[in-house]
Amino acid sequence: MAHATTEPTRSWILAEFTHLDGLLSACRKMKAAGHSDIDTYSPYPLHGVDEALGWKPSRIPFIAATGAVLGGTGALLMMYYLNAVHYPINVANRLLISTPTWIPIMFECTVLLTGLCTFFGLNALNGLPRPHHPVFESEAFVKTATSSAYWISVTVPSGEGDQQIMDELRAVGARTVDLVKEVP
Amino acid sequence: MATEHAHAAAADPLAGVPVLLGNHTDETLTDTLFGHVWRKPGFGWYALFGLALAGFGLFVLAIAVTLYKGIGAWGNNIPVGWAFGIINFVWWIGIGHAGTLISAILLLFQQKWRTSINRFAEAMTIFAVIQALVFPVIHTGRPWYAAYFLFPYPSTNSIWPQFKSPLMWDVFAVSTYFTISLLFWFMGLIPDLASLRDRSKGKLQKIVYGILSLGWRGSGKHWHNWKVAYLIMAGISTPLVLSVHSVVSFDFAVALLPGWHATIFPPYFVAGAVFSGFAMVVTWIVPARRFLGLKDVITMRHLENMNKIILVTGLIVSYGYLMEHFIAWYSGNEYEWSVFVNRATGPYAGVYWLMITCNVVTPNLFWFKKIRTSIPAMWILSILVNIGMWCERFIIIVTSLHRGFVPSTWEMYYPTWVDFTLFAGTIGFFSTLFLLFMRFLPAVATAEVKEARHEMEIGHVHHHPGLMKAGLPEGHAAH
Repeated sequence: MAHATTEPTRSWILAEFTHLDGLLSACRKMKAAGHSDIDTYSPYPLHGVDEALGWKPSRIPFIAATGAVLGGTGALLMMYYLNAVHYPINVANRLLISTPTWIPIMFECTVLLTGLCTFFGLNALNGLPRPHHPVFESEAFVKTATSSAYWISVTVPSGEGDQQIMDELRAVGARTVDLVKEVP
Repeated sequence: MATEHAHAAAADPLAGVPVLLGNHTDETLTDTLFGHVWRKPGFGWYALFGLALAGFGLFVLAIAVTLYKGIGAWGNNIPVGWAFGIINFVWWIGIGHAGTLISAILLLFQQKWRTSINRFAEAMTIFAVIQALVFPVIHTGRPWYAAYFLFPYPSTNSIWPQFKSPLMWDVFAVSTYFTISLLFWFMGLIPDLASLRDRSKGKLQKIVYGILSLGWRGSGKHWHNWKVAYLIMAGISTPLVLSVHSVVSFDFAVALLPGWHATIFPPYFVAGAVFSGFAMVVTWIVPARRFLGLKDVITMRHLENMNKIILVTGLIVSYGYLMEHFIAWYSGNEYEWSVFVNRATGPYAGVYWLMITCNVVTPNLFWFKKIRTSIPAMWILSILVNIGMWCERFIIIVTSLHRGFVPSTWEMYYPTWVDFTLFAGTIGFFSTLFLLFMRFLPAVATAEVKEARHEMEIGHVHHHPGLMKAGLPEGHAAH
């Protein structure tokens, strides 16, 4: 738990569920109660959470597409500039601008930039790397969240109905309920 | 639980043995699949690791000799200017291809059985590509100068790489392949690393796994992005893996040399790569599933499926040989035809017939279910396939080069002890990396196996509520 020397600003109410139905009904109930900062935690991706919490589709495809366009055009311009403009190399009198022979490198650069943008875009959107997070303060959470159980977190300004939310989550069938506070 | 397995098998008409054995929950799967990371390795691991390190020693020795004496320490000559270096390069790159095929193509085809073996095969890809990259770097003789002509780097010479050359395509293809494979593998590892972090007992373990997992906490918002990103990585890896060995084959096919200048090369190289790659997966996974206690997750079904892929790709490779020989004869070009006659009857005929035996004859034994499902038989056959595929690259490269258009350019090629040592050294280096991987990282993609189990479970209940209720552990019936 947080060693509060200063006033905590936000609270995370965490609840553990053993099956998906319980988690999804908790998600719907908390959303209906007007909480906006809700997240779930599971050892593997779950179906139905996105809909229950009304998340918008991921922005990853746009980031990946940007990478693809940059990679392909970047490779084309690079080869054009280096081999045809800056230092023209005559290879067996072939055309200086010989696009068919540039296709393999254009393709590889498209893939490379798409992959790099996807990977770094993923971490940027997820806010990772982030070694520490308030939810890790809960021992019960750390014990099962990444290996065998489903968790929900509701984030509220500290002191605003923490206990009531905990009771509500217990009522939906949570196995464990825990509270952690963010220390500024 | 027996009824559940019977049902799992019945649901898929092609399935004999289920992809997941035993009465597993997320909890027990975590224990089973992480077990080998927490256990202190036994004598066997240390013995193998010692052997692998000795092999790595050979690697260091061979590189030291090569850099000290120069490329003259190798058996290369004129006309055989390309020999062991590129043979081993192509062989290792090819081995890597199975990993990408399993992780990307089978993911897109929604082949659930891939989840048990993809981590393992992807690790193999990365380690194999590292070995492959050693050869083009070392063969420059002075690798510290290599960056100047391999990468578009503004050197003081002010001369840029020549992008019309297949060798430049190769540089881009292989470096992209390595980068993307590594990112894809790592992306899949992050959730498992987080799980390892949360179950670590020691402080050092917790810190190391904590750093590697980037602070992953299994958040739904993260999974939401991760699912899409993982699919995109699979989507781009699929054409990438096909392009890599096609580009490798262009190194040969674009040259106007009898025996190399063939349009069949790209598909035939890709099939050969998958063929040898799957063989290498079988060679490693057979002992690994036993010693790491993974028999519930890597079942006979996985092994049999892999053997079927070896059979299919083996037949494609055989067809490639057939067409290559047919076209050489049908072209009416006597230089082309003499290369093929020389391969079968010339000074390297022994290697040629070993290639035919290992690549054309042995995979056909996998037509028999008994052999396909026999552990010792598949292990031996998988090694024969890799010997055969190495011989194939030797035949393509050395026999095409050693007899030029005029007899005055004819010269035999003999590898030196440095060539053999470097090749053995890369096998040692590869084994070292693999054994370290099996010691410190989960050999099976745990999060993905759990997801597959979860989906199977939901699927069952959905279709057969009565049947499943009895079979499932308490607390799961309500799904």
